[in-house]
Amino acid sequence: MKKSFLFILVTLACWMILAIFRVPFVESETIQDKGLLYLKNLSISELASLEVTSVSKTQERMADADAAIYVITSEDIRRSGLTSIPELLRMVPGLQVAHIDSNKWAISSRGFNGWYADKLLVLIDGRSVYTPLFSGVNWDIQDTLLDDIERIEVIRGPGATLWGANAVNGVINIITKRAQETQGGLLKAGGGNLEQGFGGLRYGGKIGTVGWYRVYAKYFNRDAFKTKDGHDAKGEWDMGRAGFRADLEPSVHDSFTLQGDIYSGNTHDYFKDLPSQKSPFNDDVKTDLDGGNILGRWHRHLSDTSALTFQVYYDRTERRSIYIKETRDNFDLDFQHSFHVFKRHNIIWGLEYRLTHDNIPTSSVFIFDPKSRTDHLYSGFVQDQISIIKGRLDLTLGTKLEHNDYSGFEIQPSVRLRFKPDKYQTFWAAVSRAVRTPSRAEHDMNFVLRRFEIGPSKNILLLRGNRDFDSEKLIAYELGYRIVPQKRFSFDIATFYNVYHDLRTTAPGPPESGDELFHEQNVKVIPVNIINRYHEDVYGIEVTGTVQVTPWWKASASYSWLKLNLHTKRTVMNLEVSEGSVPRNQFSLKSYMDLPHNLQLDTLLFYVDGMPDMHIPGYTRLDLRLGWNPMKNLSISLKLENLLDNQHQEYRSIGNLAASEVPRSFYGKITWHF
Amino acid sequence: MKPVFLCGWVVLIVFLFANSYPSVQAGFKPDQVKAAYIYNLPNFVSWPDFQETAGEDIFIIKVLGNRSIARYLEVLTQGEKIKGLPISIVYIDSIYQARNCKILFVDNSYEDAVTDGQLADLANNGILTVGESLDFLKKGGIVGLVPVDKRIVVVVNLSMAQRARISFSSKLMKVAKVFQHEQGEE
Repeated sequence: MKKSFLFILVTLACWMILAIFRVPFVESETIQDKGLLYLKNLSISELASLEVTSVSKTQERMADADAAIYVITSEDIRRSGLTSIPELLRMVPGLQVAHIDSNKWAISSRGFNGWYADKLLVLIDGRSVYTPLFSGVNWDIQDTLLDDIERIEVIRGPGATLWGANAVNGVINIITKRAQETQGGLLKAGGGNLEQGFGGLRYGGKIGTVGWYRVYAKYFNRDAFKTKDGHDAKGEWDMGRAGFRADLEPSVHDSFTLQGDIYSGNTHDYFKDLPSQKSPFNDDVKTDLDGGNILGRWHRHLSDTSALTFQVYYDRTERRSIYIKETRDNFDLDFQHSFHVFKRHNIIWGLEYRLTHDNIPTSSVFIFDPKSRTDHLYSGFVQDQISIIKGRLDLTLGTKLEHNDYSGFEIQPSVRLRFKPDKYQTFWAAVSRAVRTPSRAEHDMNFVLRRFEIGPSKNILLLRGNRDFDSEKLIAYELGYRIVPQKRFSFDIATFYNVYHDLRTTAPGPPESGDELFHEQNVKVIPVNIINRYHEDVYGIEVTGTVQVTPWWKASASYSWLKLNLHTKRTVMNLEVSEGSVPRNQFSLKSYMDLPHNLQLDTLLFYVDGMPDMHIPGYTRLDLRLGWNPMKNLSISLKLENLLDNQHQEYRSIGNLAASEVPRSFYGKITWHF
Repeated sequence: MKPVFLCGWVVLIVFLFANSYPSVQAGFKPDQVKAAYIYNLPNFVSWPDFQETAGEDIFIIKVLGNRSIARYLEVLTQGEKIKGLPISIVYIDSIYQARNCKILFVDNSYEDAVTDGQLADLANNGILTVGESLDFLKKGGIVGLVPVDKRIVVVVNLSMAQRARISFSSKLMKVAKVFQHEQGEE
């Protein structure tokens, strides 16, 4: 079967070469430039008498999107005063964001929240940061200079047809600004009680006449939270990071992007009663985090309705603590082509290949078999947006076919329908299938849950991967409506009904000898096997509205409601599938006010329902930010977080990780543009 | 394997033909003509505060939400000067990045998102806002490049121009149409 994929790749290569060579025959730069130079020499009255062709634009407006989409803008980033990407996601309706400890978050879309929430795909400038080890996102290493983020697009619901497996309940696209838009210098520094000290420096300049670059460096040091009874919960962390981005536009048609980051830092965790007997018992566990990535992208604008994108990246991550050491290298090739045919069809298709190689040495609690593994992922997708009634009714059909080394072939189709009764309103509906593919851990892991001795035999309760573990599957039905009238007001509602099959759970297996696995005598293993069993329905509503109350005051409110309905009896191990493990109601409010004397007063309010199965009560969080621009290029701000209580818990303790509570905090910041 | 190969090549050939766009150009693209208009506009516009802000050393044109126009403008302005200043074309995708320029082009996909207040604020700052519809002028935009029967017509909103202390030369006024508020009703 692999040969046929090889064939597809060869075909792709041939096709790309042909496509590129065909371009000059279709619409060359010289013809376009000549056309423009001709126009340049026309007088304004001649311009007024010129006939033009009518071409519809491929660019989609967010207001027209046929999905539940929410965009965090650079204004939101600046005015919220939040200092990390995970915290920014709190403002998105339908997302569950919980701070576990100072350096860990549980973030999911439409339920199933956990430390490694596995149904949400996250990309930074087209680079997937979803880890194939545990399925999920290591939020502690996902960062950049927040001032350089153009927007964060959050799509709730399956995005698998375009984005691939694991985009089951949502996709988060973090998009940084082009280097053109970050010219000049920026220096910022600040600190407070939790944010003990942070700083960032960026400088952007030109490369000849056709290119731009920026370089940046940032550092932060965050303090630990406290436990319920006021003890230090550990969790303090610090990280330094540097990177660059260069954008070259040598012609009207081509743009090239080269970007990269490197980072280094460490986190601390407080573990209680670890099952390890072999290693030195240690409740303060330090994890070293290092990594880097480099990405190149070439975009060719073939015509107003057609474009090619070719992207390649390499990403390395290292995570080292006494309990787990993981090094991982990802290499990815991605190709996309969009074009119009027969006037009504807007087609986009693409191919992707990804290689991931890891090395996980045996520790006192983790034994991976094999220790090192190389996996290949091949995928292709095609999507056709058919304009049934021009500008009114569109039907989008698409599917993704991918092959991975764990569950083999996966097909992820979707059908979307969009109706626009006028230019302000959009109704949309969609049915999609998506899968969450097995992780390396679910196949190959042996994790020591507990060790105990009975007589001469050493007993080990072992959470064990399963080679037959299959993908988790979703069929999602979605319906939404959005209105963006001319002035000052927008409103968006999305509803969904998700049907899941083969969700993960665990089942105990018969005891067996563990002498071979642990290289010890008289070891009896009591396995707890990872299996596919649960069948669950989830449904919910997400509403958001924005009002520009006056030219100086903008306010926005969001509400979401979520219900889980598990059809299988739950075991103790799988809390995240239970009804009582998600906040049923969530509400948020944001308000940005421009006051006289260059002052800004910004407010964020979040209400999150309790999670009875986790014994987490509901909480209300209020944040205030006061900003002042004494000069055009200087801004000073003061941010107060979590004003309403001393501290509150947002997520349960996980395994042996001590539970900690989010405290009230403040910081001051100064930003200078030069 | 052979049938697979055959299928693959059939797919390849189908794609190659499917990809044959009409290469005959019936006329100029609207975005090209609009870019040419924007490039020409400074010749017919005077900004009174140009003297006051003599410290300015660059003429900035910002384009909100239309990369094609931004690129066409880059080609048109290459090596050129406007009012003796080198030109910089900046593509932006939020109205909040719109300050600090002389001309702001607003793509029609962004017209709904831009408020009356924001357009008035830009006018107060002497920024010449250029849009693509009468709705845009109704909201408080200054110049509209409006398609009328396969042609692109310049429509000016004189009251907003006055607010921005911008004046148009007689040469432009001969070609341009003057926006009347009733026109805003489509």
